[in-house]
Amino acid sequence: MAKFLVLPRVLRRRLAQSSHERELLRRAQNGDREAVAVLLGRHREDVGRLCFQILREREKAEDAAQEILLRAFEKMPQFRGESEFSTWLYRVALNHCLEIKRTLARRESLFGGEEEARCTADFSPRSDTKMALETALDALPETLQIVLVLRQWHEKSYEEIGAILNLPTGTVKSRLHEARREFRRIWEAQNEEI
Amino acid sequence: MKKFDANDEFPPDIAAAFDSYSTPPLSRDFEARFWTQFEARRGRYRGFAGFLRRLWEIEIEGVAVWRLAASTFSGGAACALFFGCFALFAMPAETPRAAPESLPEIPATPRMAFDARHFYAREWEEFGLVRPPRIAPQKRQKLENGGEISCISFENGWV
Repeated sequence: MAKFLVLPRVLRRRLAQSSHERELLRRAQNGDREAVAVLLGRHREDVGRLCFQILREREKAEDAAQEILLRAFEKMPQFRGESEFSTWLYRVALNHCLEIKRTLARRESLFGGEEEARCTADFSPRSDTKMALETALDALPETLQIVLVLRQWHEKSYEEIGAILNLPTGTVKSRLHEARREFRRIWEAQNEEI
Repeated sequence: MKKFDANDEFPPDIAAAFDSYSTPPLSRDFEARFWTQFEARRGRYRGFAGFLRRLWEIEIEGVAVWRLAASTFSGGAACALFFGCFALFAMPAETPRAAPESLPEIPATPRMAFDARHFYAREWEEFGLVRPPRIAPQKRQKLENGGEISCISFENGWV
């Protein structure tokens, strides 16, 4: 009988992890520098990557990542623990990056020439595949682009993507399906042109 | 061997392109910069001013509460204005059900009696002329040749 009451090892580890994470979050909310450092170390790479994948410029991405992490730790008392910390952080990061991207797009539409010249000056060598990938991604609507980024590069599950974007799993699946179909169409059209 | 699912996965060339996409690592001073700014921001929330600032910066779903309140208030005011104007212009004009009460009689004053004829007469007097003749009713005259003529008669005689 006692055998049945013992929790499986995976579940026990997960529970232990979540309680450890909760403790860490509580300490970070109280301003414990050590806890903040641990959380920063865990999540900064993911946030940095996400920023670069959306903004495509190293400096801008790094500034955005700084701002996101600072905001996140500043707003820690507002984190209610209803979702995973990483999910919440991804949500904050996505909102911030998309806001920057929209601002940049608006500015570019106003001062198109200047921005273009600046981009050319900042240009770092990219392979053709990378360029093609970025072009195809940019051609997608923002909603499809985001689900694709989270799935392909961050290997998030449908449930996790749903939690980040506040969408039901079914919607995530259909968006992902549409995103893949659209991306493939654009990619093939690009290859035909070449 | 895993089968390629065209509906849920990318073909190998696209999957390879995604896999080969690399992102640059964060710069070395990333963490140092973070801590500098972290401490600077922490300082902003110290003391009573910090407490007020924290209240001011409370957010719901990433939107500051004061912004939400302001937009709600302005939206409400705009709606109220719209519906107020709508109600005002859509209101039907009421037909009076009873005859209006007769106005009290105004006593005649010399000024009120000063009509066009009096004015004309006064003009004559002021210019030192004779009093203007009064228009007499027209009289029909029979002519010798059998025709008729209407004449205007004045006090001074026929014209």
